[in-house]
Amino acid sequence: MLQSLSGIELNQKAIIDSMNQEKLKSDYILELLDFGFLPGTEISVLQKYPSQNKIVVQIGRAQLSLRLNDASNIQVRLNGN
Amino acid sequence: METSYRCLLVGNANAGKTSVFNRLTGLSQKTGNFPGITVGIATGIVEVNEKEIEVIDLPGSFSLNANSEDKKTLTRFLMRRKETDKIIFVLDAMLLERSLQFLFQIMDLGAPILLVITMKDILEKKNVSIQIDKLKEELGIEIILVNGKTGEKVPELKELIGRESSFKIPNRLWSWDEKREKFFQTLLTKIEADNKHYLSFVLANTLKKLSGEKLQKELPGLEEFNSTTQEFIQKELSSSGLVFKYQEEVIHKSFKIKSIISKVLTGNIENQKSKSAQLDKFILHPIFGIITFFVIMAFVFQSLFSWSELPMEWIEKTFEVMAQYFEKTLPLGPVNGLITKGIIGGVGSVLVFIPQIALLFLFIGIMEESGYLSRVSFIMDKFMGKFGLSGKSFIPLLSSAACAVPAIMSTRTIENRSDKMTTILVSPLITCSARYPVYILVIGAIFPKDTVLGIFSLQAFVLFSLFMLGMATALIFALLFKKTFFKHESSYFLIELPSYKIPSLKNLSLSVYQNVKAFIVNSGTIILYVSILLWFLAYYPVQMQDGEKEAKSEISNSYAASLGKTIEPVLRPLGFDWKIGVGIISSFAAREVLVSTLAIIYGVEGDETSDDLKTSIQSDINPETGKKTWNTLTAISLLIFFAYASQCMSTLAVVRQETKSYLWPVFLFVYMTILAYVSSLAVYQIGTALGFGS
Repeated sequence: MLQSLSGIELNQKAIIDSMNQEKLKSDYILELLDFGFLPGTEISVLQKYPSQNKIVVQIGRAQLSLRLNDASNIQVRLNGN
Repeated sequence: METSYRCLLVGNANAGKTSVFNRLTGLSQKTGNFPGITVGIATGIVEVNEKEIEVIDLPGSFSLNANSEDKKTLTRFLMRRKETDKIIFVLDAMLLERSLQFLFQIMDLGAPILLVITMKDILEKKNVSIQIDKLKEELGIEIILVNGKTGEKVPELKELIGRESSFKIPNRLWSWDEKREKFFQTLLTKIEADNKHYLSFVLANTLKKLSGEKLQKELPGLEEFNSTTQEFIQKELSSSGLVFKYQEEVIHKSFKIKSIISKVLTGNIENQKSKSAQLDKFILHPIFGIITFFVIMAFVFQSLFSWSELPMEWIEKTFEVMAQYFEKTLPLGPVNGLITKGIIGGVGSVLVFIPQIALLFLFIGIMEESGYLSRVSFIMDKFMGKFGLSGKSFIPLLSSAACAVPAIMSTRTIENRSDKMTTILVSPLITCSARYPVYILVIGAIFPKDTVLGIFSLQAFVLFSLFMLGMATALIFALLFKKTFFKHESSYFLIELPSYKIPSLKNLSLSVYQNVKAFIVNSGTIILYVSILLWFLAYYPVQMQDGEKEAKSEISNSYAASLGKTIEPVLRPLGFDWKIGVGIISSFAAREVLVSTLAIIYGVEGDETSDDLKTSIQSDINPETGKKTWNTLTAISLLIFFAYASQCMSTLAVVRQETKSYLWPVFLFVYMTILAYVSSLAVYQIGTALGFGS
């Protein structure tokens, strides 16, 4: 089942599927790739901060933070579905 | 001893690369000058086996594709490397997958590599092990596991660096999918080249660029081939119908990397709740996090000003004593003035900022090393977003409150070009420490020691208002620039939250030392030259028979004074006379020069707190109008002028250095000076019309 990264529950594991090439700037997508946002990679949401427009995610051992509205343009697949 | 090959230190940011570099080279470090490279790069010497090997610490990165200035410098350096150069790749064991992605890119260059894996201690603590021998076999290069913090295994690393055979040129380990790989290999055999490794690297970039990928400008591509080959490649690609995307390349590499990791790693690095996550619950909390942040900032600022007070006084006193000594011992005349007022005064005006700059870099260093700095970007991102910037612009803007020069230097880490340029352009509007002497003198002389609302001192209130004015104007202009010049480039935010660490004293002191040195070299020389020029303008022309007279009696006839009188008509609508005019001209070199210039003009000794100077300002009468030269309105007009005008040679020099263009420093100077003139004009004219001018 495809879902946006901003929409999944805390500590739920998901697999990165794709990034919306129209909504996200190409420079930003390059940076996301560098930081390990590769399709097929496992990701989990550690914390969401709606009042700050932030989400903290974990890829491997790295903890990364991005804006919630950008996270909504990253599609993930939930494990086991 | 003979000097042999150079080693280029490459790796992820935060991978312990700097610690390894510090361990290897220690105090032999210096900032190197390399042709075509503008960003300061540290180099050092490793002595091993009767050989001196130069190690160059290149900026940390995650790929050769990112667009910040630091990272372009990295690519530029790697592209211009010498034939004999070796690469030492520093890899963070905790971030194997991502680090290996970058290593694969570097391996594509076809240079000899030695791999250094850091974080040995953490691996052991987490009960994880990497089978080094197996990894060597998989990658085809020499590997050593070290601990950068304690120096464990660093002597062994030195040994390896000393042996040329430890650096091996690896084979390409990954491949595209079958169709693309076949196409790629066919092209490779059809194009002639001396260095097939390099050809393969350039060809891969070319194919990606032709497929519509926006790669970093520094990466060599199609332009490397002659026109026949260019046509050939273009024709072949379009008839094949294939597309080469960076994203796909990364994914293909990732397949290989995952399979390597599964073979060499035992134990599970992931899925362990770290202590950092617990601390982040508090540090990043929407309420407690922000309160903590403001408490820390208040402490930093308080310390920045109070801890630097004593050393700054010592430096000032030392230079005063030196100037007095030379004034007395040297015969009167131009040499005396040049040395005491020009050179000693000029050097002193630069060195006096060292305590503040050192403290600023100490605090930033602590915040960065501990991992707090990225949390600050996180916390401030939403607020900065309102002005079109991201949280990464916050620290440079904050640093501007001490000095815009290091602040502008620190924008190197901002990836987004429009965010970086905007930050550079508005940083000089923030109230920096050079403005305080001017503010303190003018406020102290003109504003009474009353209280506002019963509790605040009027003088402190004016000072605070000026600080807020600078901050607000900077943010408003940030929004303005973002909405005009950089309309199509929205800001974005992605930051790593590294695990919290205790800062290393060695790294901190080296970083403070290097930044202070850079400041002295960059801005110090300019300020010294300008001080000598200003002294010349204020001293000459001089009648030699008046040898006994002191310089102060002549300033009203000097070149500076005639310059002041020439521009007086332009400044009069702002409420300034020729004396303030001379002060403004001289303060275009550096703001704080206004104080010493006024002291020379009024013929008194003293600094911004001196009562003599204040009394002279208060009692100065304009001979034409018979009224006081300085009233409250003049003072406000002058304060606003100093808040906005671009009066700092060092800032312009550093903007030139960081943007590598003359356009931006000129633009900065013009827009700030117009802003200053128009604002002062409006304040003075509206104020006079309302009857405040008497």
